[in-house]
Amino acid sequence: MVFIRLLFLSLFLTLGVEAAPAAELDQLARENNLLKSEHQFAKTPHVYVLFDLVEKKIFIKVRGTVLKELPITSLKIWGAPISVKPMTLLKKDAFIEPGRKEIKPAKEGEETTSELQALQVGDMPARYRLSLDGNIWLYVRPRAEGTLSTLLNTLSSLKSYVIIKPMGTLWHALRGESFTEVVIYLSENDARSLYWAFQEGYGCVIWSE
Amino acid sequence: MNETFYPPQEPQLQVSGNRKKQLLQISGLLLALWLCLLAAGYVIGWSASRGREVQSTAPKPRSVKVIKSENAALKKKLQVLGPRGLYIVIDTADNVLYLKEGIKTSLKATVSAGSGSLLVEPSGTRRWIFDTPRGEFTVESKFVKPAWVKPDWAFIEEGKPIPKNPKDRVELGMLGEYALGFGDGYFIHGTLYTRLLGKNITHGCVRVGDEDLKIVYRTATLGTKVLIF
Repeated sequence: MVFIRLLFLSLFLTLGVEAAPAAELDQLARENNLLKSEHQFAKTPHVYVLFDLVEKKIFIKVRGTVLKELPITSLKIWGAPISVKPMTLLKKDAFIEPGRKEIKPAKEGEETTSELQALQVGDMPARYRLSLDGNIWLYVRPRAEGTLSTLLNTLSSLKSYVIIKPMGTLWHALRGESFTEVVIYLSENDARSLYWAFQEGYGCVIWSE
Repeated sequence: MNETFYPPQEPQLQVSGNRKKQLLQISGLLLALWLCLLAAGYVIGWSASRGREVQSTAPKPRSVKVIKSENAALKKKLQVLGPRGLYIVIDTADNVLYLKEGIKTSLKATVSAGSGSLLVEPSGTRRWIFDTPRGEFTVESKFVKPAWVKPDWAFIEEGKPIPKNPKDRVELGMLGEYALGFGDGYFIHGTLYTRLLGKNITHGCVRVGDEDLKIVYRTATLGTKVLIF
């Protein structure tokens, strides 16, 4: 009986000792992927974005230097786990997308009005979708403040539960692809700032659990 | 004879009743199909979320020790890539310029960055987008009392003919007391339109108020990094 107990104890200890390094190795490997991905972007002089979904922060960076930090109010992740790898912003979609204002050249003797034809951060949408490679759809929504924004957030959530999550998953599964939906809530100003700073073609990395 | 007598409305009522029944059946079928698809989507998504993430193509280092040392080396490499000493950060969304050293900020100035507007030459041959470039740049030149050499777009915008003599392009006083060039004809310079500071109204350059510009000019040297986002 004592022998059996000892056998179980030794087995338990062995497995416990083995499990710890495996988990540590896995975490270190993920950190390694993150550092490698970031290094790949930081080698270039271009802006890139790091979505730290664990710490709930978004970092706008160049050369590894943090230029701006945007706190995430809350977030939801659905679907396939996100690999820690360099990704590209393929497309930004918003219900009303900001368009460039065209300067009308002045006629002779006429005063120019170019000073007024500007695109400001306030013209950027606060509610939009960022399509990343690997079928990752990242929805940015403003934190609910007031009736209208609460209603719009509720409708967006409903759309997500009834259409995007199941149909998106099914559609990509039929094509043998994975699908992930991430919903991020930011303050309205931060959501607009992110739309302004994160341009199509820019690189990004997502760090999630 | 009595068996063949029907009120005239009854067949129509029966037909519309059948149609309603058919419509209800079709709607029910579609709803069931949609619910099945919904359930299938959720089951697939749920099982996918339970799965492990796909590792990158890079081979996994063998031991904790190896990977720890590799991570430490990568962190060092990342640190080296960042700016050393003093550097300038320009936030084009909020129109703010920061003078920084490490994490310390020695100056926060309200500026004006690119308007993002579009100008098309009346002939349609050339077009310009007035964005402030983003990314990492370097202070390449410094000027006191700089003269503005007006580019073609400035004349087109003003509706004036493009001069053939280069001397006719030179305009004094427009760029303020100082200018710091950061490549491709873009400058950090002064402005006559101080009331517009804080708004995106420039053709890509960064306009700074007089006092702040003096500090930037005196502090930044050739080679100082300019990080714009």
